[in-house]
Amino acid sequence: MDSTGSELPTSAWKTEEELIEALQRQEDDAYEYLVRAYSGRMLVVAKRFLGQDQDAQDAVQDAFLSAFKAIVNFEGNSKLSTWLHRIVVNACLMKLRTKKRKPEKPVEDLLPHFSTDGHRDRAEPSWAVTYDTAVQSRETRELVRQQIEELPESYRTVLLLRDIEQLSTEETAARLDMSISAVKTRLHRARQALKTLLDPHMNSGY
Amino acid sequence: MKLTCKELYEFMGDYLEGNLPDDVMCVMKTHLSRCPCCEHYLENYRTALRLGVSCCKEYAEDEVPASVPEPLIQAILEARKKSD
Repeated sequence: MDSTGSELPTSAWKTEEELIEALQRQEDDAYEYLVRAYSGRMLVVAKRFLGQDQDAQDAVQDAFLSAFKAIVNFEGNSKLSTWLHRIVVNACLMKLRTKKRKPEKPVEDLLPHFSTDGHRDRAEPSWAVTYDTAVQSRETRELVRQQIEELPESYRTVLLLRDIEQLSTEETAARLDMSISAVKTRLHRARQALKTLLDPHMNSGY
Repeated sequence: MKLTCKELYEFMGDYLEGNLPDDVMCVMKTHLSRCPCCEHYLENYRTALRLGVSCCKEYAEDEVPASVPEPLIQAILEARKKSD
């Protein structure tokens, strides 16, 4: 992605390129603009990985400090927002690695069950609410995000990296120090669990 | 070759990504055409996946707060000065 010429809303710098040059000249007001303009989006990403607590704010702070160090070498090959997004995801993964893990809720309760002959133990209805209807509702979008947050952390992390951040299975496995088959299994379980969490809403309609 | 519902569920992720050998894809399609329970589950699973992606990516702006806590902004700017 070429950042040249990207217009910046209400800032002293007409383009992203000008802002980057000001950052590379270590201008204080450029740094303040960067933090004010991008920290909201970064906090959203961090909360997805780390939950609604201080860890998310700490990850955003760590991400900005990494970005401040790296800005000197930033060549504008991607948009600033894309670059900062990548940095905050990395900061979140670092936090997850060092964070003291809370015991997770077992995911098994959210998975389908089968009888001994391999058939489902109950009928599966087709959801009453379609994708198109659901995605148009702000309330449903908020619910979907809340249910992703409800997933056990180790499943949520894989789902976020693979489905939302769109990392490959191989890259996700490398980042999480897991085998490729473990990533595939965990992703499938995470999607199944999300589906189960959405069942009551999507089956009942509005 | 036949698949039970339980076995079919395990292949769903790979099925949606087209990562299965042709013969397994074929067996899955046959099973899905005859088993409404599995067909519905696959459709709901796919919708859940699409909703997750859309709500966190295309509609990500929904979530961006109007303002970030000022203490966080100040902490970041202070930390920059200290690290100089």
